[in-house]
Amino acid sequence: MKPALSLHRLILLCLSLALGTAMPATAQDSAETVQPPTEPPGNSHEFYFARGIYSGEFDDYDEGGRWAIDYPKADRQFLVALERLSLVDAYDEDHAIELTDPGLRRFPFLYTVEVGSMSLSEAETLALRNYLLAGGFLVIDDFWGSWAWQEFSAQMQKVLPDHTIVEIPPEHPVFHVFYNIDEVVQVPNLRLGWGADAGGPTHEYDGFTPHLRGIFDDDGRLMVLINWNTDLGDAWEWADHPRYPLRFSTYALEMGINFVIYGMTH
Amino acid sequence: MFEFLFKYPAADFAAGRFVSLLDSWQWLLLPLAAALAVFILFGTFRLRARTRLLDRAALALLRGGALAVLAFSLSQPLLEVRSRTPQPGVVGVLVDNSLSMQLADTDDGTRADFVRAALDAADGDLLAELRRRYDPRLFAYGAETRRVEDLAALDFTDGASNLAQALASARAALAGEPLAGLVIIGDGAAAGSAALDEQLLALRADGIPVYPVGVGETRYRRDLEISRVSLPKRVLNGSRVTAEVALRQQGYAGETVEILVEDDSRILHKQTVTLAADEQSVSIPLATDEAGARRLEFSVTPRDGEQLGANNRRAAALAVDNRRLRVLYYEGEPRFEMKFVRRAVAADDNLGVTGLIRTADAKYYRVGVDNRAQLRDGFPNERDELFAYDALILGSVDITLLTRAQQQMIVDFVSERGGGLLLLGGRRAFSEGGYRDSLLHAISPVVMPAQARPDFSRSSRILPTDAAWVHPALQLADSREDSIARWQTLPPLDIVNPIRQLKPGATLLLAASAAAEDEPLVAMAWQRYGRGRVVAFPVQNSWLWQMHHEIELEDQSHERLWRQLLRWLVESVPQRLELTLSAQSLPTGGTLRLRAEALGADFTPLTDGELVTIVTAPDGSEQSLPMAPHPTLPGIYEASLRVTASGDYRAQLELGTDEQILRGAENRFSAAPAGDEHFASELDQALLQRIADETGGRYFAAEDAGSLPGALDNSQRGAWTLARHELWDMPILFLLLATLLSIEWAWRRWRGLP
Repeated sequence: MKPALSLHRLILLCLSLALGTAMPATAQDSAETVQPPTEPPGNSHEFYFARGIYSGEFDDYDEGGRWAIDYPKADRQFLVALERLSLVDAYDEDHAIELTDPGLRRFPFLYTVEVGSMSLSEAETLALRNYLLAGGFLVIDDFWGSWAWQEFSAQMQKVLPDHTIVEIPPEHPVFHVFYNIDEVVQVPNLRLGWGADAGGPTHEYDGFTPHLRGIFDDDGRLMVLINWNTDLGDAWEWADHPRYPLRFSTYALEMGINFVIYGMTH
Repeated sequence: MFEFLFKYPAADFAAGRFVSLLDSWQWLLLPLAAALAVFILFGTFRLRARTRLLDRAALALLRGGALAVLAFSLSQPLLEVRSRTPQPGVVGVLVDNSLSMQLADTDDGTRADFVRAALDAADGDLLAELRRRYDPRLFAYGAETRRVEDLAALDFTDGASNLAQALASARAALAGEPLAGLVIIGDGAAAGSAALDEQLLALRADGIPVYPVGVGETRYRRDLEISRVSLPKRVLNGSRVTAEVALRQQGYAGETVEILVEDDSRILHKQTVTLAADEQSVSIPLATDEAGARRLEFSVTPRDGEQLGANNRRAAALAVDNRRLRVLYYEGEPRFEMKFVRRAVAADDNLGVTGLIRTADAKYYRVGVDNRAQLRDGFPNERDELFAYDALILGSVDITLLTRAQQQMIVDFVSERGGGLLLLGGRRAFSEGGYRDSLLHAISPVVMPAQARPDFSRSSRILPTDAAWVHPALQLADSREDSIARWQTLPPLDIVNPIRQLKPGATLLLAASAAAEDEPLVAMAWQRYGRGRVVAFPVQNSWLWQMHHEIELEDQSHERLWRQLLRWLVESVPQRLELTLSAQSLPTGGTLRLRAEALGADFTPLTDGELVTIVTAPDGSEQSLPMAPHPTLPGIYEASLRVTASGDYRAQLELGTDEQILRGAENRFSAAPAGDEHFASELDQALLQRIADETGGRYFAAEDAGSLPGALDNSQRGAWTLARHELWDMPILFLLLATLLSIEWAWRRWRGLP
């Protein structure tokens, strides 16, 4: 391994520990209260971590949309790492935006979670299709098991009916654009993470094996990255938690940074 | 008696002129002499204060007269008299033997008919009169000049008229002869050139006057002519080019005609044009879809009553390149611009964009590389590595990331290699990136503000300037109207580099305006620097023209802009072997000059290359023409080729190296009996008048040619001798002096004065 990469990993470890000491008060076992989406903050920064707000089931805990799982803490903590470890000029606040918002296409990187409960309206379907075909890059995260997969793939079939979902091979640049990552790791949620080091399960439902899948356009460009049976967002959110295993948050931050830099260059 | 007193006959005094042998400085003594005279006279009168006024006046007059006579003698006066020698002078008569002389636009029929009437050995009035007074020598000039004895040798079929060479030949042939002057009988059409200017200077230095006789009409009454076609020398296959066609007309103003563009008989484009008065320029957008050396023919259908139809068709060569040109795009930080620029040109097989992105300190990500070693250490440190690209895009790259040596290498890349440089906007670009004090500021087309504005950000609508409407890189639609409409509806972009000033010589293509800001900012400007082009495009996110919600998915504005911009940036980048021909069409029998420029693998001039040009004749036969190195210019090779057959030729440079044979782009040219003689074939009276004025001769219209011999007589040239007679010792002067002094003596005696 190159020395520079080792140094980055070292910084990442330190950063994770620093987050842990800096933000203990916000580390709660339940999801945060969902905040209304911020106004589009203009374009004075190069990168905005845009989180997609979609129609669908409501969250069990606070009746907010499931799009908002881990929001906004996961987004903000990921941005801290992104800015610290890379040269990406990122807006350091979260930025949630509805799929039908005309401003969506000003943010070519979009992050969405819990897509098993997604139920897109016609307008959302069209907006997301146009976003992707115009050049937008969508990263899907945190949905588990075969049921969620069925639901999600049915939604994507509506969005991109002529495109199929394929497995991303480990040699694909998305695994190597910033960090060299050899395998897809199953990143558990906070509760499962506590027991993972003791040999406890890391999966939810029947999502035993993690996958990184994608949808390519007609010219072979990756439009959608799908993290299935893994939860990077939880690892970002709980990177500061003393009981959450560091290996998961390290992997999740590395993978997330790779996604961003890949999305900005490909 | 007159001759006794004045030494020379009265006729000499009538025809001659007075000159003095005194040097110019000696004339300065005259005021001194005058002062001396005044002193003498004044002194005399002062001593004789009581002398009467009449005596004083008489004595002053007499003594003053004597002094004047003395002064005249001392000034060494001469009488300069010209006289004819018994031998007659020589007159060179240069007759235009080109095809344009067959045009029937004189009162006597064709221009050639006028020549025959004037110069016929038996009854040619002009020649007879010249023979009576001089010894006329006839020359026929076309592409070449030759001495002829009489009109029988003239056939008026030459495909060119090289007047400069004609004057040089006649001057050389008549050197040493008592040359009274040169007479040109012709139309002067298409004869102006730098070589002609040189000849006029030489003639003027030798004092040889030229007397042109203009034959033909200065303007046809009814004619259409494609007088010029401008095309870039080379484009990439698939590029759009704009051909500028100059259309001249007389007698058809307001009518509509159709300009047809054909590529080897395949119709490429048709455009209807309403004819303006006199001359107009028509921009014709053309798409290239077939690689190779193309020969495009531009034509206008002849109209009823046109005096000349042959000038309605004109050919132009265009090399359509099918190589893959390499662009290096360097970003100092990850930016979406990189993604969308690469995406925009991804479908273009002729453009390969390699991305180098600095993702963290000393950490680079490379995209679009050909091999693992390419750019492994970041931005090139070696000249060879950078010069392997045809263009360089610098994004948000802080200047501290480029060493002074790398900056100099980029300057050399543009000025010597001829590479294209595109400076993109960004938070670490231009002044905000510290470029103001860098070497790159010197080659930038914009003046970067002294003060960086790191917090500046403005959403601005981007509007093309007048220069952009015809710029091939900025045409967003097939027709100009659609392109203008598209530009006006594009969404605004963000600008983080406020630039307001251009360098002298730079061209503003796009301006950025915002409601809050009256003074527009520069959004795109370019200039040539050395052999290359430098473009400043200080916008933050041109990708909004792809991603903005107002942009339809089918809209190709962003792709088109970037594809055309990068193609335009690299199309003129010189290749290692470049061949330039002196003409694309020439008269059969004429001589083509070929000039090659060869660069080594490191893009420095190749001085020891063995270059040949393979010329393929119309019949398919090939000729290998060795190129000789230029005696003083490194990397330049030259050759000339006499074109003996009419038809379409191809020429391609070849350089043999140890490993392979390197071939340049194919060139095309054509030979026809008429060459370009039908174009600009009207009488060029202004040129002939200029020839007369600059050499001290006189221009004659055809109908006034009869007075030409008389004008030659007044010429200061020919078999004349110049005599200079000394006048200081004329007897009349001594007689006058003696008389004046005697009268003074007598006056004094008579008046009793001392």
